[in-house]
Amino acid sequence: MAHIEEKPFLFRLKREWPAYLYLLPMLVVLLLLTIYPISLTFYYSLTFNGPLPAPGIPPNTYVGLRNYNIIGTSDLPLTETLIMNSFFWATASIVIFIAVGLGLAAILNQPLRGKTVYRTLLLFPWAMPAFITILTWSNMLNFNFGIINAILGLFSIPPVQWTTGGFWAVWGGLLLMNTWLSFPYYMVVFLAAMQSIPKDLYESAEIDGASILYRFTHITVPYIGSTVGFVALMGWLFTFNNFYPIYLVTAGGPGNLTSIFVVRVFQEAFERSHYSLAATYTVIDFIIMLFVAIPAIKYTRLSEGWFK
Amino acid sequence: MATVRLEHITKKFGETTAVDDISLTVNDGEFVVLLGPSGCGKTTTLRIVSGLEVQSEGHVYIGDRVVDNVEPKDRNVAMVFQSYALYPHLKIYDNIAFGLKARHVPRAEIIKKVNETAKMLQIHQLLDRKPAALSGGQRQRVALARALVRDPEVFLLDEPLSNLDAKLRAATRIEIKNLHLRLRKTMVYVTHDQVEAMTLADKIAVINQGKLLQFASPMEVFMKPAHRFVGDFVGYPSMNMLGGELEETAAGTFFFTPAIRMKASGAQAGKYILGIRPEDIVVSKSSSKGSLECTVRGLERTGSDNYLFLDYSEGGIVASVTGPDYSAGEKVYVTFDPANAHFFDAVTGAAVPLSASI
Amino acid sequence: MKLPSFFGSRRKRLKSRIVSRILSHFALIVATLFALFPIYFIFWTSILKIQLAAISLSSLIPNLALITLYNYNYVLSDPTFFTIYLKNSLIFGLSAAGVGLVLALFTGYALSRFTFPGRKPFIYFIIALMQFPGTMLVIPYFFMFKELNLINTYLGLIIPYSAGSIVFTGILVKNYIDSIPEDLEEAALVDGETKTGAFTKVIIPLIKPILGLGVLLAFIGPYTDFILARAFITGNSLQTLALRLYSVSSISSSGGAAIDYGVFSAFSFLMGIPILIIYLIFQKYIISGLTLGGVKG
Ligand SMILES: Nc1ncnc2c1ncn2[C@@H]1O[C@H](COP(=O)(O)OP(=O)(O)O)[C@@H](O)[C@H]1O
Ligand SMILES: [Mg+2]
Repeated sequence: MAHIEEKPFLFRLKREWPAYLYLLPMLVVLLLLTIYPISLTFYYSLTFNGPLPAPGIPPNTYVGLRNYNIIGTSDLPLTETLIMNSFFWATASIVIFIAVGLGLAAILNQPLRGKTVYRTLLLFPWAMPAFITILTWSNMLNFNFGIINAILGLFSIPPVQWTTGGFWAVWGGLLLMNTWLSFPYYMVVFLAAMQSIPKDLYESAEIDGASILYRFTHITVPYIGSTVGFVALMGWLFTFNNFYPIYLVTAGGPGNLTSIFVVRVFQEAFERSHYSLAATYTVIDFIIMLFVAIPAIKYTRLSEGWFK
Repeated sequence: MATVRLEHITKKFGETTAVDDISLTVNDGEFVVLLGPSGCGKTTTLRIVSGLEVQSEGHVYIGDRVVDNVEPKDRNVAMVFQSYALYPHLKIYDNIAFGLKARHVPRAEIIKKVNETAKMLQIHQLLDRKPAALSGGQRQRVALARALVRDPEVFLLDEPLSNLDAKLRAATRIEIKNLHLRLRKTMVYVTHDQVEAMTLADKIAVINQGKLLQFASPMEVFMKPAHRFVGDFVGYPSMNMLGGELEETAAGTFFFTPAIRMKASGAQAGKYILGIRPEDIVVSKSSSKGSLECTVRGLERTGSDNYLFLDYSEGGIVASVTGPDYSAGEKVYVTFDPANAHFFDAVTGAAVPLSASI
Repeated sequence: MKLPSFFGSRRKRLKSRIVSRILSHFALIVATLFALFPIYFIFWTSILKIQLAAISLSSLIPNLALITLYNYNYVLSDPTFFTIYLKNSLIFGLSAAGVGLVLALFTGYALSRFTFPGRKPFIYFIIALMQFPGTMLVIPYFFMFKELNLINTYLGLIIPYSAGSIVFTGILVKNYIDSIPEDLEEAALVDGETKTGAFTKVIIPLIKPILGLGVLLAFIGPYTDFILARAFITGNSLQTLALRLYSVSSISSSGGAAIDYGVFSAFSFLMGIPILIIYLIFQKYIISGLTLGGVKG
């Protein structure tokens, strides 16, 4: 009987080598188009590359932490503003999304005539490309001839300065628009999660005489809690750096009222050519994201689906 | 020549040892059943034969060939999966033809073979459907057809009947047996159902926790269980197990349990377990010499057989009875012929050649 | 008097059920009006004769007398709509979708089926990298591609566009392959296929729907991208629909010339409606895919 003299390891390799071949494209992309550019960004944040003539510093020279010192100590406390605005923007948006999404999902999760029609119609905002609808909203929010002020006029409410007014007017307008853009997604995801709850749980609870509120807190919440948590986390991370809604409507204004990291970075880089400052803000933003995301993903069971 | 030989096969998944030093030979044309409880390593063993899993140690031979380093596609085996694994996107015809196409069999021959096989299994009227449109029994036949059509050297079947309802399972069991009698192909069949094993097998390999405990004909497995586990696992209801001790006294060697005492010889003094099958137990309503007094706990009727569940001072006993006229709480008296008793080592579980008499 | 009170409570329950049903419909109708209004607004103003400054609430009510196709005519009669903007957007969208799809297919398969050492840390690493705001990759890209003389070229945009969707669609594909029993591939292996054969003959046909979705998502990114296009496209010949739409909208909001707004709406409608329809057709897959994959804003 002939024994084939081949080590199991080589046999395994012969058998499993396609794995590495399959992964190769992604590794190349990760290396060249993610890891390398991210490292470049860190490097740029340590160099000088800006439009302002800095005394004695030629462009692209290594300047250590100078950029971090500038943004930390400049008279204008812009960094804190960016952090606060980004946190406010992400948190307020997510709270509203979850509330509206859960509410509508709960309503749609009961036997109701025309449910599927409602559901499909409610999906329209989500199915239209956001870039287009944000520009439309930008027009609708116009102070002089925007349709929203016209509608308010119908109720004898004076026109609101959606893009140029105070804190509540401007953030209110942005959050209203952002809600319109995103609530359908949250609604369907929550609805899908609710529909996966076994019906007999509700039935037996109803037989036991549990109230609607009790059923919601003791059956619905435990069942869909992790979905809500996961979606909220992903949504928060996404919104924190969601560029278009703010850039296209207020561009961070008036003043710095709605300025968030991404918008500011884009402006520093492509409107003021101050690349090293843009890179510095990017690094700070990235670090904040990691501080939120990694523990949330590691210490909760939110991301189980990724490791199945 | 399509024998299958496993030589000291061990398979480890990290810390768990799924298959633990199994050696056995399946002769050409033999129907061997791997029998054991869920998780004992049956599927893993089968997958090692098919090449889907690579053993950690040992060698697999198919025919004269060492196939340790041979890809599944080149082992010339066919496998029926527990889930059937029908390709959902292909019609039944293409499901059955899949293996022939992969082997570049000429088209005309494929058509002929697929039709023949489908006729044989009475699924020829389903060839245009997709698997989703079939019932469980029909899917099972397609899975069989897909294996048969290739005419491989060895058939591997992993619990092929476990997803069918009881009636269909019994009917298909007979068909599989007939198929084997007709084709006389080497078959390795995995199941946790001892009835399937008893009715189908030329030889049964009883496996527990990755270890091969007995490899013998169904009758031998039933009559002479080589291990306490085999006695317990094969046969329904399970063999009654009574722990006791073999002691040498002035009057001779005796086997004692707290309730029973009998003459015995053939092994050293020590702790043993006495096994007695329910059908070897005689139940009487009146006491006799050496009989064990029991209280009826309940009666399980299956229609043909009745099983009497009894309590005695030290535990429970199950007996097979004919009459149904027992009521709970009633006192009955139990005896058995010591010649029918099996003895196992209390520590290792291995059968010991003790012979007992009254 | 047990019986009457029993009936009474039942009537009360019925009544509260009707009330809750009415409230539900009310809430859904309000939400639907909110959801549909901006889209209706785009559509209606795109065919409306009246100029924006003159739009009143009454003119929002459908009225045949107010309809004109002037705005569509205006947009479509300009040949550059097709020869430049649409052409470029389709080139970017389709090539990114094609390349991204193939990459995502391989990535998703490898992540789902192979238990290569370090798989879990690798996935963590990817998740960490995903936290780097994609928008901000524009800056290093800008310098990298400048170095390579790829600014203002098709290739210079197609490369980042294709890469942009690989992680997301890769995870989408991975999740979907996870739901396909491995038995099917193994059956193919025993039946005489190689691993590659099992992949192409069993897995790929089975994941077609999710591949369709992947193509769609990978297409829409570049199709509506403004950031990279704004930073990389300097000449006229590479201009895209998104850039054009942005400039149309800036004219309208700064100048307030009403006719531009009608043109904007017609342009938006032409650019957005095909996507909306495809999305609604594919909604089932998209939703289930997105539940695990991440979030579209
Ligand atoms: N791919 C695997 N990875 C880790 N453990 C496994 C794997 N396959 C099987 N096992 C383990 O090996 C043991 C035997 O499994 P299996 O052969 O499927 O049992 P059976 O088919 O007899 O029910 C079980 O404990 C099971 O958990
Ligand atoms: Mg098994």
